[in-house]
Amino acid sequence: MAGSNPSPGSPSSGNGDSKRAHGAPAEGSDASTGRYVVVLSDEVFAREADGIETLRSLSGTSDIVSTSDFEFGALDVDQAASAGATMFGDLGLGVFSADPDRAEAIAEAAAQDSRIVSVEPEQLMYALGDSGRASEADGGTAERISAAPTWSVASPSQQFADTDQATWGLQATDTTKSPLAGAGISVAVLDTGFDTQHPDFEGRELSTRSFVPGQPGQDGNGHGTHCVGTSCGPQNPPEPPGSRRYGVAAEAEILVGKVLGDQGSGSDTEILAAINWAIKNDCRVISMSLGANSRQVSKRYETVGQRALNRGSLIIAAAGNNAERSAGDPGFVGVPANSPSIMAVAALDSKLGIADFSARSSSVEGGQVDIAAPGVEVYSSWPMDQRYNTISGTSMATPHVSGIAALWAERSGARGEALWSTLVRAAQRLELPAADVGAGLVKAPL
Amino acid sequence: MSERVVITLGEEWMNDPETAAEELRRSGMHVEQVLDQLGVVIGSLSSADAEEVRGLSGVAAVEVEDTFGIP
Repeated sequence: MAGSNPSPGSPSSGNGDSKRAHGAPAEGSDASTGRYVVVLSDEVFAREADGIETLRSLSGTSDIVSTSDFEFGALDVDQAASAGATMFGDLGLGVFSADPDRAEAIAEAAAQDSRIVSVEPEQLMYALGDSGRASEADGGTAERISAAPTWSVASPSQQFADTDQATWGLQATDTTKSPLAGAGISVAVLDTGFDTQHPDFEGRELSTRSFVPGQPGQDGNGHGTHCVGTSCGPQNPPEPPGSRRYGVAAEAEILVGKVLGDQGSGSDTEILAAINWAIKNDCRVISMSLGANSRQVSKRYETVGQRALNRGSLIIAAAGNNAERSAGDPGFVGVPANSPSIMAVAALDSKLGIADFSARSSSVEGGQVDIAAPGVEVYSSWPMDQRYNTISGTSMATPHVSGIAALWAERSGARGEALWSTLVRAAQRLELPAADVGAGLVKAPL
Repeated sequence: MSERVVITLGEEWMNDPETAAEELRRSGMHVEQVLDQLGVVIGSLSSADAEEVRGLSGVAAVEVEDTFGIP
């Protein structure tokens, strides 16, 4: 590709466009559209509100539509075309219109702005063939897709089911195809504790600590043992009795912090003390399948989430189960998942639809769902003698993301913000509103 | 009457939580835990003292302790 585009403002209507549409030169095309693409820096990427603010201050328009505003995740092309600018939050990109003179001034301003990586003229793109290159032979039917990016989406007819080998969740997230198992990565699971006598975890590198006064780390509830199972359960559960695989990061070191009593509740004192402990122990991932039904962002959890990220620990929390979508109530993301620096996880069913109970993004800053994972009828470990149990919740979706985060950390060495970005980037986009599923279905590294 | 509170330290005290805890004790707080990795101090405080603590320059937030459950 030739590097520069000397005339971003060349006439782009009428002949130019129609000629382009039919001529479809595959390479060296410098067709421009009068629109410009802003690439947001890591400073604002993955923070939609900041991205929109950046786009607003740069382009001077307040009429900005966002891909997350649209039902089913797909941009309404007509609405986008009439707006002053479009924000692609999942991608960290914005698009705005400007005439060439103004565009030049904007580009100069952008060069001084640390929130922006680049401003470039939008280009016409053509559908790619199987080879991954522009299909030259098929030039005549090349589609203009610049205003409506196509994402890799799940087929609507997709349906997963547990098999003798693995749970549906491990299949849907490609965990079963991943060569990685989280070796060398520490994962903290802050919950109701763990059944340390569970035979599936014999020989595992695992430490348990209770932060609940008067209660040992032993799980008297079941919830914690289930979450530990999903995030870090074994690759091959022992025989007898033998079981399908249900755990993601089978070789990760597990730190179990009991922060919820056997009745399933706990306070800041326990939770914050356990986060402190997990960070001190260099846990790359801190999994928290817990929450409170409070809309307001908590200053303490936001600050703690940010400090954890700075120390290289990513906190992943359940979005919440306060929705009842079948009755018209989409709920809202509660504390602590609604903190901008804590990753909020929604629950999907085995058809990759949003779970009835899974909370939707709220309007507070950080109140958005960031990613989604299997959370309906999830089979995992349970305190003995029951050994296994199948339950549902955003609590069950969260440890899928935590385990997969450990796999990515093993693959790339990423931690903190970089690990967050990796998860978002790798997620499979779904034909569902971003307000419900964020970046989409979490995916394991292949 | 005192309430259980969570105090988030600002940048000034973030890296010196022990000094912060000392200052908080002087302001009437019963300090129970100092979370050095997070810059958070947990304990109990009367509402009158809470006002004073809110005014300290090294304090970013004073919030009442919350209870969490399994979603």
